[in-house]
Amino acid sequence: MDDRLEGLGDEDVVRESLRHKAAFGVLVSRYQARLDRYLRRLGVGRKEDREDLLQNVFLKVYRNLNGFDPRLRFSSWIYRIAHNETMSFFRARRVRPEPTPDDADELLERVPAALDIEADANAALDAIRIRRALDALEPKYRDILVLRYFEERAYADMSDILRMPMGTVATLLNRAKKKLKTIVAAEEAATRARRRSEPLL
Amino acid sequence: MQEFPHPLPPPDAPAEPFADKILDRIEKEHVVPAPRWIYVLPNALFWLLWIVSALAGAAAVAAAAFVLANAGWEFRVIVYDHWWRFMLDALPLIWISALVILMIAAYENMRHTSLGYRYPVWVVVGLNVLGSVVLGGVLYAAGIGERVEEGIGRRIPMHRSALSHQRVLWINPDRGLLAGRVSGMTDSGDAFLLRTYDGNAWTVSLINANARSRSVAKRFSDVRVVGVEAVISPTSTLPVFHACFIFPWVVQGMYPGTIDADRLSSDDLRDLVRSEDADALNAWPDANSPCNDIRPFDALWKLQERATP
Repeated sequence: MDDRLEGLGDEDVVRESLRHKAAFGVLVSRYQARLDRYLRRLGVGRKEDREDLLQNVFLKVYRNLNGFDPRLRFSSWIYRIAHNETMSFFRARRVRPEPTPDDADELLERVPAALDIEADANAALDAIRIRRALDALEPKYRDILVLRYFEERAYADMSDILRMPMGTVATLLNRAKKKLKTIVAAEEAATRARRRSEPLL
Repeated sequence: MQEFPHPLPPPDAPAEPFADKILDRIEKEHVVPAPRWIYVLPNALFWLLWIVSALAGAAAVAAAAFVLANAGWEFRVIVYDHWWRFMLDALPLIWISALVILMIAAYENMRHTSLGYRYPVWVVVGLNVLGSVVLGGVLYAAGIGERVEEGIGRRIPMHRSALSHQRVLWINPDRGLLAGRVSGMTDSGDAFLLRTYDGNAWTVSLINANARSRSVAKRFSDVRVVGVEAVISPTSTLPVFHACFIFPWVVQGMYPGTIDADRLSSDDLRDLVRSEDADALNAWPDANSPCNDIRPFDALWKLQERATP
């Protein structure tokens, strides 16, 4: 069955999953790695927590398969469930999202050009600055930046994932970018001030 | 101490594929997809609530239009001393507030439908308002505005319906205002019996009224009278009011079948006018007439020319 299903689109696999439970395994395999990365980027640092969350996400997806609206893309719908489950997880544990892992290449590749941030001579410092700035952002701004620049979602997808109009998505994204730039600039100014005050060797 | 939510597998056991783990849990925990109606029903309910909110908004617009149309705009200089007092009375604040609340409800209901969140606030609210205004206009023309304002409006605490308010304003003999139903006229046409809306009866003298006013009294069942309260003589059984100007009381946007002021056809009225002496039609009261002190006299005169065919 898996071979036949591999070639089908997500929406078709959903239909098949409602008839045959086993077909749902195809969707799990397709989205496990992507959602694991997404949860990590949202700030679920511990592997065990992510695994628990992922299981909850997929069980919720299965339970709500009849609620999937084919006018949505399945990926947007499953991302919406993953996003909401993650937010519930943070609320239930009363914790803030954990610092994003040090994926310097990814950070440097995706963020500076989009934000027009001046590159530092030291790429490692750049990555640290950006990472700190992302961690300092409010969750709603961080979430939208993660969706746009790390998950590379289109505006229409983000609208469906976050359940808000595209105009609101655009506004939120602009604000998030401005805030990130402000934090990065402040970090850069603080770094320069520290360097000036360091005694010459 | 670190949490271990999962029992540790034996060191050499291959890791179970994640997909299989999920399928196992689905099997063991008897997880089944919820039935489709659980999603269809709430969505349909939200759409229904949205329609109800929109229709109620249209009814509020119709009622507001009725209130505005019957606010007595042409009589404001006669009844009110200050324009802002008139605006305060004329503006249908209750229906505007209801419309705002209903539009918020319509937006929230729309937002909770399957894909309703995709539409910006201004589009949803704008379309709702536009739809309510258009449909409200249709409902007003069909007389529904009157039914809503008079039917529901009178049940709202501390709110007086538009027509009730006008009646209260116009039953003010001290200020020279009366309104009610013409229920009898003398053979000479010099006086008629007016049953005012507060349940009282007055003898209204037409001696000082001009021909236009007399024609209104003869032709219309509901009238507004501007004049002077007479000093009651001991022999009078009813209070007497000297009419100076009489206007038909016509309710705009009335529900079909509701009793309205009787009217002759415009042809009959033209005959009546032609039968009168043209000078007498526009005759000023004589020097001794109590109507000479009526204010604002010129405005009333012009109003009568406009209001009476």
